[in-house]
Amino acid sequence: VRRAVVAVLSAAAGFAVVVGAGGGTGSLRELVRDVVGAPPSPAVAPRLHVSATTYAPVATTTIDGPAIDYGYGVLQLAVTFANHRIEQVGIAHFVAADGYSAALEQAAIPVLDAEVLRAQGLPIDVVTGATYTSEAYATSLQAVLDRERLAHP
Amino acid sequence: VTTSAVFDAMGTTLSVVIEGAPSEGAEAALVRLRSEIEGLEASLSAWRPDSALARARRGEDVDDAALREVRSLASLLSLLTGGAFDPRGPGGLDLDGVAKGWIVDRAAEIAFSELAQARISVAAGGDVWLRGVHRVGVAHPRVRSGLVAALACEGGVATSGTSERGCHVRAPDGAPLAFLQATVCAPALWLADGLATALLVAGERLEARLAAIEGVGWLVVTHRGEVRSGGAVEVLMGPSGTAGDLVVG
Repeated sequence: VRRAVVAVLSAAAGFAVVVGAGGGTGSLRELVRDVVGAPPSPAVAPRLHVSATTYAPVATTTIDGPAIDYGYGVLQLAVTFANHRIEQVGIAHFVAADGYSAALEQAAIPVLDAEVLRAQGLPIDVVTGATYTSEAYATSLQAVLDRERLAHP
Repeated sequence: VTTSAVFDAMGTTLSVVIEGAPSEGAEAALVRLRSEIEGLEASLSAWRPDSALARARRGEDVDDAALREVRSLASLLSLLTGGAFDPRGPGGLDLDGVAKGWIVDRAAEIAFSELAQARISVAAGGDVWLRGVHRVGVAHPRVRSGLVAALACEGGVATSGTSERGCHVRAPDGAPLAFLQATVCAPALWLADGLATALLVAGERLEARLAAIEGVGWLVVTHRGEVRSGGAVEVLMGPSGTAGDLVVG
């Protein structure tokens, strides 16, 4: 049982990170960058692969992905499953390099990743959030949705 | 057929998606929407010195239909929220928490009157007008590309928080904000917009009042990182407990 869980764990974590790294928008890497305020160095970017079909447990389970050193800290994601689906991707553990301890506190609010939601068949139509200016729009999640709609009408 | 457009208005960027309407009709409606918004902004802009709002602030005697209507809605919101929604800002009359939502409500109602069958969303800088049920992602208050929940909403949905423009929302008595972020779904956007601002300021004590209003639901993020919902809102996906549940490392 232990071995099976570990296999699921790495497949799921790999899935989430590969979606982020290979999907063009780099969602999880952007997420990490937003949390810690610095771009991850490409030299230490994760190279993970989905080696098998993700087969997640039925009962609600939260498991931790591998700890990955992004250069400014070690980040470990927690993936919560229910009914064979990824419910949530959160930050299980984050050891910040010097100067990022404030960012660690901000990571305490669970994060849903829009890419993961879409991969699970729950695409988002539109985003609500605190008011953004025209300048801030460019980096908003709404802008990502708009660009995707234009690219795949 | 899906028709979409992105354009700047009211100091932000609007994203409009019209599904299920012929493209000529949808494009005509988009032109109409822009011109209606521009017209209403001329009355209600806080930044244009010649707007009806700016003239009223300077103490001029102003007769403007849009200003009259939004002022009365602001008073209504103040009553509904037991004073948590306060239209009197430090610079005089402050309609920030209701004017933008109302402009979109009114402009969309006029522009889309002939597209009765269409499913439409108008995202206006974080506040969203919706015809038909939509899947709405609630932006994470700290992680720009992340979400904190996904909701099913129609009518209007608005979020008040401190993440993008800095802390522009104030409690009337200068007290700290009750929540990190507050999202409200309501049958109209002006209502969602005003109630989200009030909920951010007043916190838990406002939830019972909101629960009494038909069709209103909310989702808040507390300072401790808890995500909580109530009222008439369907949470499609969101954290089920506190952030502590997740921090297992």
